[in-house]
Amino acid sequence: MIEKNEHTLYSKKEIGQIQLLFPVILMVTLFSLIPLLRGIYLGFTDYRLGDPISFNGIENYIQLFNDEYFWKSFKIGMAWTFIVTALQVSLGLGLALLLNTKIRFASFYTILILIPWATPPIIRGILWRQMYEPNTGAVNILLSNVGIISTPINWLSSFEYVIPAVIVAGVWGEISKAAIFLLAGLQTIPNDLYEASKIDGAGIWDQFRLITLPVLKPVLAAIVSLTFMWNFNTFGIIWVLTQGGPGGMTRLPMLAAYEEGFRYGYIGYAAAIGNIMVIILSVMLFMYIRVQLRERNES
Amino acid sequence: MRRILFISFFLLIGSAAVFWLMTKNNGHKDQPLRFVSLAWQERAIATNKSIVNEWNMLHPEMRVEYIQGTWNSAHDYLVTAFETGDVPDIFHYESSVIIDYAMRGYLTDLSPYISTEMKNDILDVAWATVTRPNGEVGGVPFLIESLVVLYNKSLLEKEGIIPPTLEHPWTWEYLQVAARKMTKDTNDDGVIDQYGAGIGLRNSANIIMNTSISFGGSFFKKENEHFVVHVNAEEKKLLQTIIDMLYKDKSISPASIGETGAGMIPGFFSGRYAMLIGIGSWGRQQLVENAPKDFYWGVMPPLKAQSQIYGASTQTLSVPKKSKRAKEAMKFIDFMLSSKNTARLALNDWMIPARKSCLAMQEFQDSLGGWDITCASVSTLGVGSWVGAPGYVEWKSRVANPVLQELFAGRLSVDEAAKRIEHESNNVLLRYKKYGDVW
Repeated sequence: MIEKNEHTLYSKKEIGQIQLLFPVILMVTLFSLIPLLRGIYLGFTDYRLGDPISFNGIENYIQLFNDEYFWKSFKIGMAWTFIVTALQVSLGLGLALLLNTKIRFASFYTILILIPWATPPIIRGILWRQMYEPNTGAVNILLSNVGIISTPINWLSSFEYVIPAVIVAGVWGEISKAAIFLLAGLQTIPNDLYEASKIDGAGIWDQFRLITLPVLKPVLAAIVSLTFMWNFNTFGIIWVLTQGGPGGMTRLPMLAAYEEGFRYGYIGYAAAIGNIMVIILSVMLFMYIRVQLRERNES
Repeated sequence: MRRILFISFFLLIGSAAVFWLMTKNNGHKDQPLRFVSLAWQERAIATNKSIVNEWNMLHPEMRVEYIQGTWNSAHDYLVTAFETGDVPDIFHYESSVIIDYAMRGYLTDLSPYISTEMKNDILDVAWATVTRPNGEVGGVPFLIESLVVLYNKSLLEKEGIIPPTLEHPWTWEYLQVAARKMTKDTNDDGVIDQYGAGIGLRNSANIIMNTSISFGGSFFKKENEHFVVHVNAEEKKLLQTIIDMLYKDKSISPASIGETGAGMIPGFFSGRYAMLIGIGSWGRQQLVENAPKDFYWGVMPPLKAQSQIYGASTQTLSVPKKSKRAKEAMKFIDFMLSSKNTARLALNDWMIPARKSCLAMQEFQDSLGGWDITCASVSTLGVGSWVGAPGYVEWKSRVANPVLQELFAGRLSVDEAAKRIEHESNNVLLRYKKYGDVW
């Protein structure tokens, strides 16, 4: 059917497709690709606000390697990513399992749990900041009414409580994402499997372990990797809540990069941090895709 | 293929047009001058706007557009503007930051444009906060940020404590005693509910640095043409005093540790803190506007350690180097910061005006609102050795604030904090060595 035009390499249909794609490609090039490439390039320069830019090879990376501030924030970032991802996915799974049972108004609950996720991270941050406010915040008022605390706790400025406080805020907003993905996965599991297993005498735990989990594995793998990447790049909610404080306790890598670039003016160095983060995420993405491909080949 | 070329041609023209429209505003004669103000208190915003309006009535050929900025985002906005060239013609900011901008070459040197009248009328100590050692002036200072101690008159009276006067200022030792006296458990439930004092210690570098001068400290010293940071006995004494009040006397409320000065005001109103130490003089505006009816308060003269000298910083108006209309911008600054207008700005922002002619006005010698004592403190204002030190801005937020947070949270001893500040300072200041020649 495809009519080859003698004079061009493309068929008419292909030209039509390219014409349709062109505006998108232009936009992506202008607003994504060029800034991205420039960002990568800047990571190899000594660009500092107010100074001319010059190429400096891998100097930034040598400096980065010895930078105690960065490694401290990297450790915090890793701890944050693992804890928050684990909580989000496990709580999300729990929620999905609940929604998958035949309860009334399931779709209503689904919409309800979607609300936090639909709220932008900055707004979530503002919300939680108000909740944690030492004198008027809901958290302190609740705890002191119940009698758990006698003096108000300044959650976001205290070295002891700030980590749990931001983790709660960070987990809360993203559980729904995991839950929705996993719910979709759960609904693909045919009921026959459960019924058959029941006849074989399997309990609820066995059903979960032997049917639900194995079938859900690809979806789980996907959601874990995506959530992991997402959490590793967290910026907005923490910036609003603590700006990385107190004493740098919550300075995630993205906050460190932002501070280097905008607060202190080391754009080149900040771009280098960005590049390192891209590499780390690429490795994770690679592992994820490999697992996915293996799953597909097995089935 | 022709069609693709056609479409891409149009898209190119289109984006070029957008680009041209975006950039053509710059430096065009008919466009108003752009003035970014960081005023945030309601009455200060109104004053700024009415001064701009008055200017526009007088100078229809050189109109000024008022743009509202915020302190939180000003730095990001300005840096982006400087780098892209889409700059405001006049902007309002603070001395310690603009001196850093001047060092990076972002600002027009205003020294050739400043009139003799303005030069002589603005206090020398204010000029010192915006002048680089090579004589370049990064901005015109108009408001002086000074730290004051506010006190609850009724609570002092109840304990029979006589508030200090200009002639008889308190020493830190006396403050400590008074704070201890006023710290108590008023309803006998075993929990202290009235503290002698509160200090907003969340980002305390500013308070600590400026107060350290009165203890004879300076943090920054110049050695072999480069700045180094030392935390000596004098600096430690101030830190130890606050730590003792927090943990030994328990006369400073522990809520201070994570709060800002503004965040302490509600507790001051409710009588939780009898005194507020180290709050900006603008805080008085909140008291005047929001205090409960039967709330009586006063301002203390600067606390005396070795001396009563406190470091000053100023709020300023500057002109970016990339503004093509520096001369016109300076004309507006001349108008905006005339003696009369500076007085209006200072009164409505509750800060000390930087002009001598303003300080001589009756309004600034009135005891109502504590103006007399607040403004009298200009005689004991000093300039910190760190003013203009390359890297000070980074040092303050990367080293000083976090370490002081750990110190006041009780996670470090004063000696450990001193050691960490000295060690981390070297790393930061090393990055600025290349700027050393200029200074």
